[in-house]
Amino acid sequence: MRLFLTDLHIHTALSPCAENEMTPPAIITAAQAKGLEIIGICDHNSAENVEAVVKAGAVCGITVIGGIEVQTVEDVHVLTFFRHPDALSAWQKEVYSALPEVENDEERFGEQLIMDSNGRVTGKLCTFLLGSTSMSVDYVAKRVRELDGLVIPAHVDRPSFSLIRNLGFVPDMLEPCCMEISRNISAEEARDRFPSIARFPLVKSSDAHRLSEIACYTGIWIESASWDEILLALKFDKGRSVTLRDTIM
Amino acid sequence: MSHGVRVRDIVDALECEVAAGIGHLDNEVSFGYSSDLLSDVMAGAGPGDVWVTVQVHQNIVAVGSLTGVSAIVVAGGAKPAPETVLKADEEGIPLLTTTKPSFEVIGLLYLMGIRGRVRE
Repeated sequence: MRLFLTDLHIHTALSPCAENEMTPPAIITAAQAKGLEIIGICDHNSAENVEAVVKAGAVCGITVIGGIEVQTVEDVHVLTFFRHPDALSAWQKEVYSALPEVENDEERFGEQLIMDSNGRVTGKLCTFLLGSTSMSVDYVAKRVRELDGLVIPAHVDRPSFSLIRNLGFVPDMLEPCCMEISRNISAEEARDRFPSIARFPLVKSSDAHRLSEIACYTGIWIESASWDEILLALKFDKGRSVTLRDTIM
Repeated sequence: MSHGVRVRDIVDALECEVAAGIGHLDNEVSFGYSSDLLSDVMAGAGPGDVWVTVQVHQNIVAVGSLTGVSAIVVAGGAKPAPETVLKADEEGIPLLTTTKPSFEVIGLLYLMGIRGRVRE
């Protein structure tokens, strides 16, 4: 067993609010430079660039966990990850059908670039991704579990788009799960300020929207960088565990 | 503090539907509160308040119960989830729904003499 440096929440150039420098190869290079071995790709309400980053990561031995940062009807951001790419595709379809049919205004919000593993732009997504889906946080939790996925409420300490801010406390439906805290807070302070998350395992991620933000706040003690091992660590099961750092590792 | 306004009066004046808590329409209303961020409501609402929101998650009932509000008005045509309705009945909190947007609802409540709590 050893420590794998991990950042589970990184955006790509697909998210309108992320910089266009967030290409699959650039993300992998930046992750490597920080010593990360496991990263999660979670764009807003879409997974169109996941496959490209998985491919780019495979070349360098970086494990990429594909996901979507879903915005629920309550304006809560939830990270959703899947064991199988097929499940992620199925989930993406459901998320798209739950999004309002609004076109992205590039001038105002930024481009939504779809890329291949070399960082070449292969398309643009028209549907505006920065909206709330019609799905409740309870439904998201239930449905993602049905698809053998993992639910992590995002940056629960933040003053907006957070489970705790918007819904006051952790709904029963979400248990068992772990919570993500933002880079702005230590685990100790988060547990202190938000008592309702105190009993949950925490991960801390960069929520990087630009390359310089990619960072390592989370270390996972596991045998290998596999889905099953990561799940065990997030449950602190079978000797696996998660270690958080207040400063970048 | 508004004098003598009961939840029943709000139902009549706003032509709300009563989704839950029908046995508690005689609750007296003290003040009004409006927010869709439940952490903010937990910190800001108080006993006897009528709380206006567009959130429909079942956590609104727990927050309503915790703060002791006299009624929750779900505005803007939002439909409370079935669990929310069940919980509100269990907790005995009137859950009112209306297609009127929050702004209209709050304006009408103000015209009824209901005011917000003003903190020092």
